[in-house]
Amino acid sequence: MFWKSQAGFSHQWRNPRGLLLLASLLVLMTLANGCAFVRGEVGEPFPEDRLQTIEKGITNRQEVAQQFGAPDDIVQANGHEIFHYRRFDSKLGWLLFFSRLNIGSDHLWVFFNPQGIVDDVVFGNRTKNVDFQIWPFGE
Amino acid sequence: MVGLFGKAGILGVLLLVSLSGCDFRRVVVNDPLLADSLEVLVPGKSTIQDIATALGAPDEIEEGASGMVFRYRYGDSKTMRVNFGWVLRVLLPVAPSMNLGRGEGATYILHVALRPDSTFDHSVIQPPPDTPHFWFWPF
Repeated sequence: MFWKSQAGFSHQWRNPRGLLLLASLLVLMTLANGCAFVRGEVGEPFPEDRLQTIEKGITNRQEVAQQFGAPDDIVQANGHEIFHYRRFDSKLGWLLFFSRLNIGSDHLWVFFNPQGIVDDVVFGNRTKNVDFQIWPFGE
Repeated sequence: MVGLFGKAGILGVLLLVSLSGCDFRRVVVNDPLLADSLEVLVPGKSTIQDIATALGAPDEIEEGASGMVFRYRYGDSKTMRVNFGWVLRVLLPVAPSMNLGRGEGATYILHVALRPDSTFDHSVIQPPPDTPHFWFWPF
């Protein structure tokens, strides 16, 4: 059995194709220092059921704060007080010498009238489009 | 002596070895801004919700001269680096680091101005800057 396997091994070494394949594999393994997939998130997601609780003309400042916490920013514009909540999601794909980091952001803007009642709500979910990608070329 | 498969293998290994000293990195922030999506907005008629449907939630809201200004951003940056010392790894026990690298980034910004009654007034989208390229020469 031992002799048989040894014969097979030496036979493989005599075969230039096998040697080439082995050498290629070794070089590839040396080069393949590894790959990485890293994800970073900042802020809490905005669940659909919580967004549904905000009703124009009914919900007040306090109720919005109870659902989403203190806003990241408060903006004054055109007579409105606007609560701004944001969330970031990033996905990094890295393989050998190629890497791509995609970053997306979600924004929730809640507009209040001077009485402190919700006047308008704008929500944009861009983090759902963030994918893990490695190839840095093209779009 | 070496078949087509072998030649392709050798070329592949050589390509991998030559690229190992290189580094291609890309960072993309948010989705590209499409000027076409502005065509559906009608001055004096389109509401905040119409704007949000066409463009999503803005990244920033500011007080403008006659109403609010929504600002959208998209970023794309490309970095390339070549380590010329990598080749010496074959000959020396310690591979010296001799890097040349360059990064290019472009930020695309879209402003959407609203009227005092919170309807769409006009938009300003900057002419697209040159698309960033991968190149290592820093001089």
